[in-house]
Amino acid sequence: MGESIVVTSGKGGVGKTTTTANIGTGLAALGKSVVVIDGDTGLRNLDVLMGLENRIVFTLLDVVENKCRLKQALIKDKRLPNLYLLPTAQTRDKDDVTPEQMLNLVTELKKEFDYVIIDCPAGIEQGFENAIVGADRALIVVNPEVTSVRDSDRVIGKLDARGLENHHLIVNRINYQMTKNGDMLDVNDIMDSLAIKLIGVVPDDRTITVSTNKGEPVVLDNKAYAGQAFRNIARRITGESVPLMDLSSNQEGFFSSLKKMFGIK
Amino acid sequence: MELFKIFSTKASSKDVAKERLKLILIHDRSKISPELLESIKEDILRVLSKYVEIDNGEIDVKITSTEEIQGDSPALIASIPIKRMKNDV
Amino acid sequence: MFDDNIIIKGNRDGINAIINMNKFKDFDEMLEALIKRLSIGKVFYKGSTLKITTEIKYINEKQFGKLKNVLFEQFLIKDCIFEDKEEKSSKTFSGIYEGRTKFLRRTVRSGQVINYPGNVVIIGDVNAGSEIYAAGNIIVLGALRGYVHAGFGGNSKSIVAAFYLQPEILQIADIMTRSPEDSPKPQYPEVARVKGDTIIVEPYLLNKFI
Repeated sequence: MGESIVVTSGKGGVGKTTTTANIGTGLAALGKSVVVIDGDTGLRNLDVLMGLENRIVFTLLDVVENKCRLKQALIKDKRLPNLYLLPTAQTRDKDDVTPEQMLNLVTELKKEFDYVIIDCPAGIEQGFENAIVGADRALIVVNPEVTSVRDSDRVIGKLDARGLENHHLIVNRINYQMTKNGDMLDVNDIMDSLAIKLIGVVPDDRTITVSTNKGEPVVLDNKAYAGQAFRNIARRITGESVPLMDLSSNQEGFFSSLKKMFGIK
Repeated sequence: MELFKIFSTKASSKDVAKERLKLILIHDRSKISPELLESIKEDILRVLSKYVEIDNGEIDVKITSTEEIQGDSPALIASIPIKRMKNDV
Repeated sequence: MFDDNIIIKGNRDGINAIINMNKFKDFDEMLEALIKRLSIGKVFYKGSTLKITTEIKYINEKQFGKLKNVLFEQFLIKDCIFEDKEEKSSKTFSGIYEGRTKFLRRTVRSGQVINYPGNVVIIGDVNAGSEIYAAGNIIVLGALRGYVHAGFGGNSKSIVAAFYLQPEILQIADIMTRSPEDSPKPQYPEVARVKGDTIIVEPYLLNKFI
């Protein structure tokens, strides 16, 4: 029986879908069988990040409405053989799916896959309820900003209330230079506020924009720092102990570029 | 870098953020809405005005945490300047 | 008043009376119920076009005449059309008759669904994430990037045409296809139609002598 993980945050735009695509791909690259589910009915984006938007025929809605079999809706990834996507509909609403339907769906998928990763939509309404109902554990994605931390706090409270207490934090979009200058909350500040275990820190990385453009998750890019961070998180999910990346080596700015040019670390 | 910080009196923006965040979270977690807080404030003032005369301009009622109480539970703190006692001695 | 043996509906084309013949003992009983029903808003039907949808096989020639007399004389309707209830569902929109076309002079946005039992002509784009279902043809004077289903209901003679044909999924009647992924996208108008048991896409070139 596989494990189901929901990737949530409360606030929108913090990197849930990017995280889902990347750790899903990362786990598949480690040899696990993975299915990623797009929970954002009506505003789907997971298909775009995976580069599979041209291959959608049936969606999650068709499955719960019995218009097709579950296997017909699963889309095989372009690059990895044991990675699948269950897309959702763009022309429907989050209220068109019930928690019971989602629970059945996730339970079915857990029988076939090592990991079922559910991309939770922003908010705390029906879409959120549907995404968390079938999850064994939660990954909470937060940005180093007061607004994001506040929303994540609310979400953690809601998860606890639902009995989903296995949660871990991913701090996304850390800018090392800004934290050093005191212009950005750092990981410790966030951990103090939320009192939750950390599972990963992902630096802000422009290669993510490029990877979204191409539909190729950054975790497959060996040169990207964000990719390395996601690879580490995937390994930690499998239970491996991986030390946190040293983000100080990912410095931008004139002198560091100069140093890089001359091969000085 | 640390040396310069001793001489600088300006708090970094992230310290400001951290403080604000602390208060916001405590406020959110205690589930007291601003409307409720306003009602509590009015009720307290009404009762107090029976015994003392209050300086309405300087009243501050808020929810915060107190270090003395264990478990970091929220506390209602009211700072109410008293002009004079109403009861004659 | 919950008589669902006879349902009266009004729409842009006129008034439609849907009669379930199976619920009546015989023709006369039905006629009596119909008269009673129509009498409620008698004035309403004067000069109208009344369409009767029912199982036509249960009514013979003579009864038709009787029914029409009552409708014309008692209720003063202008015109009466009979539609067979049973065949209604299986009748496919055959051919490309121009009469039944929906025109849209706007871009169809992601998440929107257009559904029409006829042809659909869109003067604008059809963005990815939208869906168009037409019983007839689908013509897009713009970029077609969404999901289209022409010939919905079985008409495999339907076509899909667009200035820039790049649909997510293209379906005509019950045959489905996708745009080829890696080949360069043509910048000229194209027309998709069924040939044999697959969908073929041809360029719409004015100059046919290339």
